[in-house]
Amino acid sequence: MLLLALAIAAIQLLLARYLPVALYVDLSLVFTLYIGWRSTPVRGAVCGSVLGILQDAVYRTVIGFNGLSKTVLGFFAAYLSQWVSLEGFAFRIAALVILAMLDNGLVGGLQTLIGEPAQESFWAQALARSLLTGVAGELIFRFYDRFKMPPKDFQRL
Amino acid sequence: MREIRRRTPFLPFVLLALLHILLISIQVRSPEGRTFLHSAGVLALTPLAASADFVADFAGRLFSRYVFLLRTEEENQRLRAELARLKVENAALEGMRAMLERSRSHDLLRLQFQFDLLPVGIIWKSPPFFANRVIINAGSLAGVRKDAAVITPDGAVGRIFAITPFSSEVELLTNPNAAAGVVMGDSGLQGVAQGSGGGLLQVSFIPNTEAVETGALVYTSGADRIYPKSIPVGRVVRSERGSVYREILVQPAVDFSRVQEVLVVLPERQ
Repeated sequence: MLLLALAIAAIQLLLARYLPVALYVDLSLVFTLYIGWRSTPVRGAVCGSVLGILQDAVYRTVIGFNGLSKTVLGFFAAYLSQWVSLEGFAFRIAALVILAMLDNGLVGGLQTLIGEPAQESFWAQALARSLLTGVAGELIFRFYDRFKMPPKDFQRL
Repeated sequence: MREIRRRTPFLPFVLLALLHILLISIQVRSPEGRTFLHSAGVLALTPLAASADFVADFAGRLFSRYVFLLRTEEENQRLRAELARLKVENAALEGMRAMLERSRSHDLLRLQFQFDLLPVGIIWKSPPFFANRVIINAGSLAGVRKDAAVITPDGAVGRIFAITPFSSEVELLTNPNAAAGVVMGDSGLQGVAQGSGGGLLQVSFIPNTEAVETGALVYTSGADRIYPKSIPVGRVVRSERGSVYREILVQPAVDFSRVQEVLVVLPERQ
């Protein structure tokens, strides 16, 4: 997982330098959910924590904003996946979009809490990011499914 | 499925979340100088405190309105008499205000005396020995601003210390970090009233050469630009000569242990 996290951070650094618009796709969230949905809630939370903190470092925001939101989403997405099957194409995209909106809302809420209110176009940008993340995330999921992780093993954390 | 649900460990998640909150708190202070952890704590406490306050208030009103009916008529008569007195006072003050508005000092007086008040309820109080702070059920969404004065009809209470969208923390005058510009009602001497952490206030910067009698009333001076002018602060209970300035202790006009509803001073009305 550490190698994956470093690879994602490197990709995001390259994108930030050469193709900033591609940062609209939240790779950290996509991989957090992928690992969480195919693993345990705790692993989803830990993965979200690591990827989120690395994302904060790349985006140069307060360290912990994305870490906290990805921790929450990674944990609860994995927790909910124990009840709901997430194999349908349309369903997965919808779930990715909704969770990406929640992620943006959480980060925006944390910024407001420290006294930095969101910009006027915040929700429009959040919606755009969520839609792109949903579609791109589903494509990444399908690509990664080729190298399927083992079935959920709830004996391991 | 039920067996799986029972075995989901929440503790690692909670610990991770707390770690992130601490991480953020170390880095960030709000424009008011408060840490993220402090603001998050107030926000987390607000729904619990508001719920508890609602239940207690409901139970109290249930008893006072339906169980102890014998005192209702007496209370009504008292309130009618006070209302009549206040109406007469208000009419006299309106006349004085109209007269002053015609004077040259109208603009200066308008700035000092015209403000809007937002009535709010106290939903949580800190233990008196701990922080001398309370939380009110109004925040930035209601128009509350940092350092806004908080008063009651009896006198000055404190100032807004921290704000969330739905609640605010008020630093009471008795807090050791609190201070207000004051003026002695009879002599016009100006000083600074500071909290001592206990129930009394200390007034400083009154020279030993000036006479301050026990029982003298103390009002806000408006010099700090936080509290409106002429709001009662308290009454002098001790006045002794000090090394340079007089050592004056003031009993606050407001009983902080009993106050349940306060008024937040909003920015000057246009």
